[in-house]
Amino acid sequence: MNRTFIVAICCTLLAIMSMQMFTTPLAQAHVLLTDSKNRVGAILHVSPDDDPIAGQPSRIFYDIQSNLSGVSEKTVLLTVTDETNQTTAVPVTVKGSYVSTDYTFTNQGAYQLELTVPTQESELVFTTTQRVSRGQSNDQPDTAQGWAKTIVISSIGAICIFGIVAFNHRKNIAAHVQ
Amino acid sequence: MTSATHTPSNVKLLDNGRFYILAVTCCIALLVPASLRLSISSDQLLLIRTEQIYGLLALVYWYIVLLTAPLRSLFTTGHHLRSLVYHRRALGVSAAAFAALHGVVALFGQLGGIAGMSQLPQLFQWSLLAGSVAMGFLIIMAATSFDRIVTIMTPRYWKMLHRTGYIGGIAVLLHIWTIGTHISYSAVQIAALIALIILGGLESYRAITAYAVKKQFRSDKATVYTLIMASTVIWSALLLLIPVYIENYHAARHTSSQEASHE
Repeated sequence: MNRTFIVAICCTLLAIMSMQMFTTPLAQAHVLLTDSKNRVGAILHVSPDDDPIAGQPSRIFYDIQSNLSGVSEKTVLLTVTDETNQTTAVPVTVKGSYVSTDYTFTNQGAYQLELTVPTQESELVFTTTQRVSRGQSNDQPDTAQGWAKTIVISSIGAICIFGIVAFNHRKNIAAHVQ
Repeated sequence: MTSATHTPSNVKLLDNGRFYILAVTCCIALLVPASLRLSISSDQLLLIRTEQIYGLLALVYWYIVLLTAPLRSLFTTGHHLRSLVYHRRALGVSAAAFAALHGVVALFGQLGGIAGMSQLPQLFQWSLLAGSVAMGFLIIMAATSFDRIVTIMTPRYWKMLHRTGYIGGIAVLLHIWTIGTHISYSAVQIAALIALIILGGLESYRAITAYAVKKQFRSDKATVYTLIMASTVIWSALLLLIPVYIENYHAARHTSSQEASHE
């Protein structure tokens, strides 16, 4: 075994790692919600990738930081309100401190999600806005914003300028490193 | 960030490669949220993606910094790594900057401030503590990365301080494993495991060859390489034990969620 062998092992492992990275599926993240009285927290997950696709089923999942023992599924209410103020009550599943359901957002837009959980102590109400920006839509919203375009162009321009300046000073930089 | 290379103070800014690394880091820090804004209309999703990408960038920079020292010990005769060794301080400062941005976006963007932490599950709180410890180590290392500080501390103590960065590395490993969103997928787990085995293997090579030189058995290659292989295998086994003893929040919750939906 010599250094070349070690380098060969490392390169093989890096190649496998790269292949694994390219096959990575989309992930779910977490959003902290607090109830209307600001006493109890809940982690909200929305799949796929916290970025639901209109016309395709999404999984909505709450991890509530409160004891839900004795809470019946029938009493837990999840409502989804679309931009036309049309409200839909969605049946949910309760298991331990988790409340989950599958729901299909019909169109792109901003939806108001309100979860009401009547616990023994008090009623917990979690409200959040979920934006759906993928999938079927009648009118595609213009999401591009002026400030973002300006920063993107300026940043890329600055990186290019730094690259050119560094290239012109490459001999001095190399000499300095030596 | 254990390089104690001294830089002459009279070098021009534009002749210093570290300047370009830090300047590009600033540009990337601005570019990330701006480019995400162009494709994401939801503010909530924008914060999540920004936080995730800053975290990933901090991790990549830190990994390169940690990899530099063992690579240097592997290629002692070559001059290829001299530039990387010289520039790693700037890479370390960049890692600290991205880690700080990651923390700020997560704390004030996603959690709504320090008060929000109290409403998180306990696993999240422990994980955030580990992340804060790791970020603290990175910031301390970044703050002491100036030549003047090296002179004041003397290179020996400066190196000792910067070797504590490995504790930060363990803390960040636990932080990512417990609440990292993408780490719950097997493809990412395998990729991360391979990256850590490479790092552990190269660190083993560095530590054991240094020990062999000190104890004067460097010429006994069979013993040296057996020790390197053994320590790499032990490190790999320790990594594989993490999922057994430490919970991954997303893997556990998402599985439970899907089970619940099928009942």
